[in-house]
Amino acid sequence: MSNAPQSNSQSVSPYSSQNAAVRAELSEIDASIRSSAIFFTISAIFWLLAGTVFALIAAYKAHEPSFMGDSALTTFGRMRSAHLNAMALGWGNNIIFAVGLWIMARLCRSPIRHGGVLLIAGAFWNIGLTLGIGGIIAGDITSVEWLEIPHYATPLLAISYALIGVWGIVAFKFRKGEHVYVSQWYILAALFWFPWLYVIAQVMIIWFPARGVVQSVTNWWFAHNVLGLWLTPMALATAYYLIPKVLGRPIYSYYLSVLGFWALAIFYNWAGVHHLIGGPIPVWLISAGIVASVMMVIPVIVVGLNHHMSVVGLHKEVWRSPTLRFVVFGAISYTLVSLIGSAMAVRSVNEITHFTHFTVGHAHHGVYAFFTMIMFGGVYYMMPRLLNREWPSAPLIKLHFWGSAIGITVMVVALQIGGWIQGVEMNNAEIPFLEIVQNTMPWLQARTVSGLFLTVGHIAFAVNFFWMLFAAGAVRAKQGPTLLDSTSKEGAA
Amino acid sequence: MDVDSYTDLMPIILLGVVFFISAIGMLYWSSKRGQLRNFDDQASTIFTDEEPEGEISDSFPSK
Amino acid sequence: MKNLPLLFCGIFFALAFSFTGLILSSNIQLGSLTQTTETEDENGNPLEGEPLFPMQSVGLAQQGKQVYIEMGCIYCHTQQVRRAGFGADIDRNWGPRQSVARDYIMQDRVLLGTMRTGPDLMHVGGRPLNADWHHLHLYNPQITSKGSNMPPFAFLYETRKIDGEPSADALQFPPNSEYGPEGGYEVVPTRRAEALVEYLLSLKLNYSLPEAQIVE
Repeated sequence: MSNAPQSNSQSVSPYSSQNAAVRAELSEIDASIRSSAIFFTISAIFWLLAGTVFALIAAYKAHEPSFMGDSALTTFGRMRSAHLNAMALGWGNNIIFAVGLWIMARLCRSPIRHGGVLLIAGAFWNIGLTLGIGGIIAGDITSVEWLEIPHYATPLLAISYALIGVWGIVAFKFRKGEHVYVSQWYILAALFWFPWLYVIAQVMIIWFPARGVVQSVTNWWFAHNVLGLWLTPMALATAYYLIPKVLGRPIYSYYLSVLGFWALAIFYNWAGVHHLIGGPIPVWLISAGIVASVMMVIPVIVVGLNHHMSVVGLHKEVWRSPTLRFVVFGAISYTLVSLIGSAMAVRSVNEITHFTHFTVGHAHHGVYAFFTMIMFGGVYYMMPRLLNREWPSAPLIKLHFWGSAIGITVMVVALQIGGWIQGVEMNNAEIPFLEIVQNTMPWLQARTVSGLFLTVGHIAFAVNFFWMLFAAGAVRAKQGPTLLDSTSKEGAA
Repeated sequence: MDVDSYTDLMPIILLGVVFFISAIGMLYWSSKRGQLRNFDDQASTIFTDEEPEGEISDSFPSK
Repeated sequence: MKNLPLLFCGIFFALAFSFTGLILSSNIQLGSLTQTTETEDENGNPLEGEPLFPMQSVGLAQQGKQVYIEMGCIYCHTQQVRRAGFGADIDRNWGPRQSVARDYIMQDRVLLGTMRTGPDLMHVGGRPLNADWHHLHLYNPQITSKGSNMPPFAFLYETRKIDGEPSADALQFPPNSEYGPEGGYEVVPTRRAEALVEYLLSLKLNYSLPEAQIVE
């Protein structure tokens, strides 16, 4: 773990330009979005911690069912749903509103207008979500996967979302200069796609229920697209911005990034039906979903290749940057998780993995190892530039990285091995069901252990973040808006 | 309605054809307007004088 | 591609494509499914005088479905039977035939589910498990299914002092069960527990449909 900054510090100094007038542009943009970005990051971290608590309870209950079993409030179905919504809509969306919009503002090269709109929308978003997750725990859960928030909270979410989405599109409209970077496409597209998905799913499942399994098709069209057309593009946008930015080297091929974007846009949104393979819906729908899932190999390979070629030869630099350590971990996970996902959509594989913990492992692989790790990287890059301060503690960053990296690896491996065994055994009617349940126990216990690693990582992250936020002036940078490492401090390395 | 009947899906299939044709049309239009030229230039738009190309801009804090 | 309207068209059409392909077309194809008889005449019309399936769930069972939703049962139990030869659903006696789209048309909220931490419940009412068994199982799954990781739903039951005659609907624990109440006390289901069990017992796939016949 010899990852301390070393003699490369000479080249690390981010501010070689001494021309203050030129330097001011980015700083001005950063300043204009500072308050909303910090607000969203704080909210995101609170939800991350709340979601972690829900996750630990649910994970522990999966092998010790009587734990906290005396109350309907903490029954497994509700804890697990509270966890999912706290993480996806609380952590995920808030951090997207922080990092994604910050990148959007920077790429539009124009200080943002109406930052107050973002703050109001953010306040409503978090109030709506608190109400919604409270509702889930209190028993108003809808039992529609990924749409558990009760109907009285969703309009709040929809309105605040609309404000944010419109803001993003307006920011793009009033950008300076002709150029558009690939990250902007991803963010713009995702900002537009998510409300469409959300509104259609709400209307067709909750408000005016469609007939029978049309609901299920809509449900999985929505739920998979939350990953595919919301979290994924936002994380890819962040990776596309941060990898070349930190390394100071343009992306390997802009052509490939264009191809990757449109292939994702066209294929991913058909893929969700693979959650219904073998289910009571027309076979052609399922086949369409399988084809699209397999076609996803194209954008994944394209993006993976592009990121890999951008990093090649600079692996040491990646390891020395907290941002890139997280982002590259996420980018590698994207390739892995997507290829596994495509394989899981093939009927013969799905026959085994469907209905098992394998899918749970896969979901965490995507949302945590890919999306969340990249967003952590984004926060590590963004905060020093917003606050003009260094991160107070390098050991805490390392603790965060290792807690998260080890935790998620253990979780994915355990759930996928355990899930595979579970699936194979479930397809053999000779094996009694309770025996299968017993055989999953060690793997579920391993998941709880992995959760402890993740908890350590998250606490390290939160401590470091609030330390940085509140220790005003203590580690204030002496020059320029960022100072992650300077030649003058080389001795400390 | 017979579940195995696909004739009801004709409007959707026609709509698909229309989508496809308009996609081709948009691509043609954009190539004529020069939207597809000089792609690689856009890759360096993320660099500014403040955070220029060729410099690594992130590392562990020194403490 | 720097042109906002152009970019936007592409973004719009990408999602519009799957929206029409998956959502609108499945609504066209499945949205007008109606109840029908077990077999139809040669014109595909229901037979006169025969019962129509699937039947509408009513009364207490309908309330029980609400309890099922509130407790988040769907996160560990599916309600769908895959065809013979794909998985072992039918071999495990989870249903006598595969479930098809028409089976779900009378439901306001479709609870297909995607996770089988526990067994499928599409046909649980058709299995040889009576209300007593379900009550004990819900009160504490360890009583009937040792080693299960299903959480107990004891909070749907009331433990109370036996006042005179024991209640008729008190849970019948096995002799010397470690989960039973102390002497002089009994465990009775609340109305919600009664509803939930009624719902579970109502889940039956014991009828044929023209497109999905039960083969003996």
